[in-house]
Amino acid sequence: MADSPQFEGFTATPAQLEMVRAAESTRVDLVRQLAPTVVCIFPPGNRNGGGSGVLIDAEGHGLTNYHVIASLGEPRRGEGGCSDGVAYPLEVLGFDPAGDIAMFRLTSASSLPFAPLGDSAAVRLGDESLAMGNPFLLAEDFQPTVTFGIISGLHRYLAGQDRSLFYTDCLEINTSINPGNSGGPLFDMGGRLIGINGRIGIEERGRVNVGVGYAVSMRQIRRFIPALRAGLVTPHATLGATVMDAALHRVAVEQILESSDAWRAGLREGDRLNSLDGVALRSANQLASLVAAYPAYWPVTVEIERGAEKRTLHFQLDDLPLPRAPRMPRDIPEQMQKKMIKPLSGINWDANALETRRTFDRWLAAVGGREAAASIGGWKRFARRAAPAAPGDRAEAAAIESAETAPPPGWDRDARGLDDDALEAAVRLSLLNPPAEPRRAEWQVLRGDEVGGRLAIVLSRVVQPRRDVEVTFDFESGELLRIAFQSAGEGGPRRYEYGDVRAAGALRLPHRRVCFVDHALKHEERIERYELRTRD
Amino acid sequence: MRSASNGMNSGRATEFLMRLAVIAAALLTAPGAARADAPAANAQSAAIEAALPAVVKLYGAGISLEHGYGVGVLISADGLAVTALSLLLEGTGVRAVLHDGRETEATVLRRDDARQLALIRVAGDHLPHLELGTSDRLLPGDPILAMGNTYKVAEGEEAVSVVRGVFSLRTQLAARRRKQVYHYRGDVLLFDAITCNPGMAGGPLLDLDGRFVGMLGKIVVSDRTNTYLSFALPVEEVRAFLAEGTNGAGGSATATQVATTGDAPRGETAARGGRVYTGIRLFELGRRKPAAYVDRVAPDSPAARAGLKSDDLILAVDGVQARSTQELKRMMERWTPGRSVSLTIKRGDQILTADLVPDAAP
Repeated sequence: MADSPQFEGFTATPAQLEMVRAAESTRVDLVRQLAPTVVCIFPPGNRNGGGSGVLIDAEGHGLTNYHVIASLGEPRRGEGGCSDGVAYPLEVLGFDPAGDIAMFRLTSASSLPFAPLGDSAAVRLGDESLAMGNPFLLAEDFQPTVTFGIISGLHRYLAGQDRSLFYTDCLEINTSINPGNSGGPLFDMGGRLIGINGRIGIEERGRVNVGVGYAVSMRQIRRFIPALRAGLVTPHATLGATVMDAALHRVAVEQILESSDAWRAGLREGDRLNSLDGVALRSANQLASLVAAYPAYWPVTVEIERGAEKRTLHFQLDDLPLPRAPRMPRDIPEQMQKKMIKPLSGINWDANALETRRTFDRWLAAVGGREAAASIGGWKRFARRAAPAAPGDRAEAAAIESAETAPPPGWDRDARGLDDDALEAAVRLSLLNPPAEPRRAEWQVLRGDEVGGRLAIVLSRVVQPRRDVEVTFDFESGELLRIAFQSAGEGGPRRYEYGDVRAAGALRLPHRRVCFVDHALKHEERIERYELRTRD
Repeated sequence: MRSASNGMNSGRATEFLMRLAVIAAALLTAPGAARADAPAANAQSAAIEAALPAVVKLYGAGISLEHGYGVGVLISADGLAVTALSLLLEGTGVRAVLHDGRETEATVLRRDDARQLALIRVAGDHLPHLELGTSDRLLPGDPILAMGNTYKVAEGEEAVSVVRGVFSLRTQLAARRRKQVYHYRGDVLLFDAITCNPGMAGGPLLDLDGRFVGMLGKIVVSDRTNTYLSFALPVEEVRAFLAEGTNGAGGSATATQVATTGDAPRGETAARGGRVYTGIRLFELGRRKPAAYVDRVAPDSPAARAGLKSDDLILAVDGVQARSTQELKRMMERWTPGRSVSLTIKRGDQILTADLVPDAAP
């Protein structure tokens, strides 16, 4: 047919044929380009079960379903077959049982191809999609199976079991997926990863495709990536309140926990909820589906209406309990217990330490380089401090000047003498010279976060006695975004947020510092200049 | 009469290729480009967006494998809707949820056991609805869209599921529904999209221009292969069912209120469905499935004007093969008076085409 313009007696113009051929070869090229990013996941030395995955960076990090790697158990090892025919050693990092997502890393001497992350929020009903993976474990040579279809539904909610495997705000596809496709990528026709295929409708049928598949949306997964990389087990979020449909398209708070952050921010029973992070709320079910796709403690912006009054609230979501960890069955002879796979336990501390180091590397690159940072022993800040009603508002500013010195080694073992501002300064200056091999007792990754719309990673800095500090960095650039701890004086939470990063001598430092006490703005500083002092 | 080698039906061919070209445009879009501008995506999205509001979710009685949910298609602004006949309509009440999440009661106006169709009325006015199209323009290989509430995954104002596939053929069913024979013996449309799932029956089958061309059937199992079979009733069956209601029996419902499109002018709807005169008499004797030989052509008839002669073998109608006299007769039932059809004929060693314009039946 390729050589002839005839098509069963129909004729086509050369231009039409050219378009059709170009479309075909574009799709073929896309598949060729994406296939090497797909991973066939197996238990070590065993080809009797398995699933799929997809690589998302050059370091060999990949995404899959929790239910694919759950059976690997401890010590979290498996094999990941790539389209080059090689089965690379695979290690399970963090996982998210409620959202059915897990992260793994392949160990390879060379850098591996990876898929770009897309935006599932931009996906429209009817858009075309490609699914890749290893259905029925057919790919003996690790060349993934490709299927093609459309997005059949958006924002679907599928209940899970025993607090795990909930698919909320997910994508429904008629792209054919089958057992073995689990954990594999769903791509848009631009070759961007928009979801992880994980579930099919199987009611009344065998476990095969019935034209109804579901993929966890990339929009959800993105928020979990920092914690997944750091080997953490992340709980999902809840509002800390129950909601109801007060009327058609009218969602209202039914009951609210007084311990929730939403209550702290001012949400009350009977309040009408208009939007969540810019998404207009139309039903209680919709809100439940949206909220369950967030990690616990994630910051959200909610617009509410109480009578004639409209307000915008900012607060952190609450956490849902994690599903019970799988346990060894009891009453099994000890001999057999030894042979059985040990269920996955919690945190992968090696991955956590690696991610801590990576975060420091990024932070040092952002601040001006490891050597330049380490050479600084203190600074003098010249700032104008104001106490406006809201950050950025105009208010009378007073000139202040403060000199701060890098704390001596071991300061963190007894920080009783430090007030809040001194603790902040000690943490910031000690960050210029972070440990090359951070110890778990000193630094660890706590969770992912979002600050001003930027994906962030929160590290915990252990300071004795019981004055642990949370330090938040931009997940991509490594920029310092926030330092938070419990206030020594007032006892409530105190946090400093940073911005306006510019050159200051050899370093790049923030020129805006905003201080909050008990979630209320205390003062805002515009730093006019830093006077850096080198280490003695 | 012209020779077949000219290429029959070049209009269809062009349309088919244009569709491919439209799909091509979507695929050509470079990564990172705004796909909202791609014409194909727009054509398909437009078809989906236009049709979705006319699909109502239905909830009613259910027992074990008879699911108490499904969908219907609104066909008039004042709430007439067609759906598949099922147990969910037989309870004490049927709840309908409109595209915007509004909930109303639905009442069953009329049932058709043979076609397994029902006409219902949903409370409301100025409702979005679909116009009945025609299915006879569908060619094997044409893309189709189907909509329904698979596994009742959509609720409230959430959009129902949309699947896409390729139209395969028009045929008759030999199927079972559970342990019972599925009795419907008319034409059905088959395609490769999977729609034999709970909640899909009663949903619309659309062509890629968004025209309502069929209604998704219930879950059946093929007698021949013992596998699940996805099918749709041609929309002409829905139209015939609606037309029957106007001739007396049952609900004042009202094919005339129902908007129809297609190439036939309005009002001619009732004249469709086997009421054409061609002047062709076909051989009826011999084997059970005789080839479609012309026995006699009435003088001054549409067939005579088209140049048909005795002993001509009719091979195809509008490019679709007619394998037997019975098959050709079923095709004829879908012809419209005054609308030309293109016949492919074997006469001696020659393959010819003839354009025949049927008259209305006397």
